[in-house]
Amino acid sequence: MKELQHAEIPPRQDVRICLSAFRDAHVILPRLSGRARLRRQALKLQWWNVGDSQVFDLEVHRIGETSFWELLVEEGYGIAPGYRVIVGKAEPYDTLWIISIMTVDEPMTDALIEIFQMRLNIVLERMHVSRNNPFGLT
Amino acid sequence: MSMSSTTDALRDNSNTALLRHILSLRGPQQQAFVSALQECGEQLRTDAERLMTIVDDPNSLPGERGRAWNTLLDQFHLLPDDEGRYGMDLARSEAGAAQRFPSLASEVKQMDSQEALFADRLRQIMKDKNITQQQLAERIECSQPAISQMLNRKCRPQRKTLDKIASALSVDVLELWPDLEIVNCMDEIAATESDGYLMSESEASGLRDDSQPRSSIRGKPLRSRKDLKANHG
Repeated sequence: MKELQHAEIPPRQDVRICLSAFRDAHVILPRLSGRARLRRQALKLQWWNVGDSQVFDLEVHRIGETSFWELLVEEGYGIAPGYRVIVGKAEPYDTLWIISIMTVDEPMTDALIEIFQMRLNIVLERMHVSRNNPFGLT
Repeated sequence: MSMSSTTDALRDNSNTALLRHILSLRGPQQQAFVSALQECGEQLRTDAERLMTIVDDPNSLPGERGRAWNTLLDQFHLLPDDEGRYGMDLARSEAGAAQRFPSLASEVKQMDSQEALFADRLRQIMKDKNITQQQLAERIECSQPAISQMLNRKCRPQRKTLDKIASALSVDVLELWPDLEIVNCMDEIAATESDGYLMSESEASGLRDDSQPRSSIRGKPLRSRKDLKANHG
């Protein structure tokens, strides 16, 4: 059956995770197996088109009127009923950044949104830093 | 700028939370923190002060305080990835981490094997039932590319998606996904742990292992969470 042999869809964008989001994941998902499974779900973001409310079998919601979005993972891995992967874009670059990881039952507060913006500020300042160019000089 | 003049300059700053934190650090730690603060841009310095305020605020929620700390740690530690860039590439980090941690490598291998077996089983069932990707996508309210990616082992389905696919194809979900019995069992254990059920004394006695000699040391019984809540409430 030819219809069952579709070619792979190339990723639309790179997805990177900032260090603080990585630490968040370690706090709410202490088990390595849980983090590995969540990562597999978050990888679907490579094919997400900013603004779409779904990527494959996952829902994506915009957080209020902010420039952040949450990928809703409705699997518990035995700890929480589900997880939210908070993402944002460091414009004008195409890379999608994972800014935080939350459980679905955690309240989304103004302070958290403020913290997400500060994390994006770090991305903007640090993304030009590399071993070859430690001061991010252009 | 010397250390003392830096801290003097910071003392003049109105943000006491950040200043108190810097002054509470000792020797090299204080020096590293101040150096990092000097190195970063004006925006991040302002952000650091606000983050310390969130950390210090007694009304901050634990999630807010924890994330504020994690952000500060991120701000003051330059940790480029293997390619020398900030942050980590999500797609490559799995392979990189699996090389360093054998337990992750076996987890990745297991996930790969589950996804491969699922793709083979799904393809076979769709072929047997003469169902196209588009038809299946419509039945489970999903996109055709999602089905295509699942068949190409590039999209690990969620549990609820598996249930929808099984229902749409009129098969038992166990026919689609390997190890699902174990997943179900783990879910039940997790649900039991979180349902607030208290074991009775007779149930506890039934589970007690009396074959081993018991210690002569006797501790104080723990206070129940209910009592602690009542006292603090």
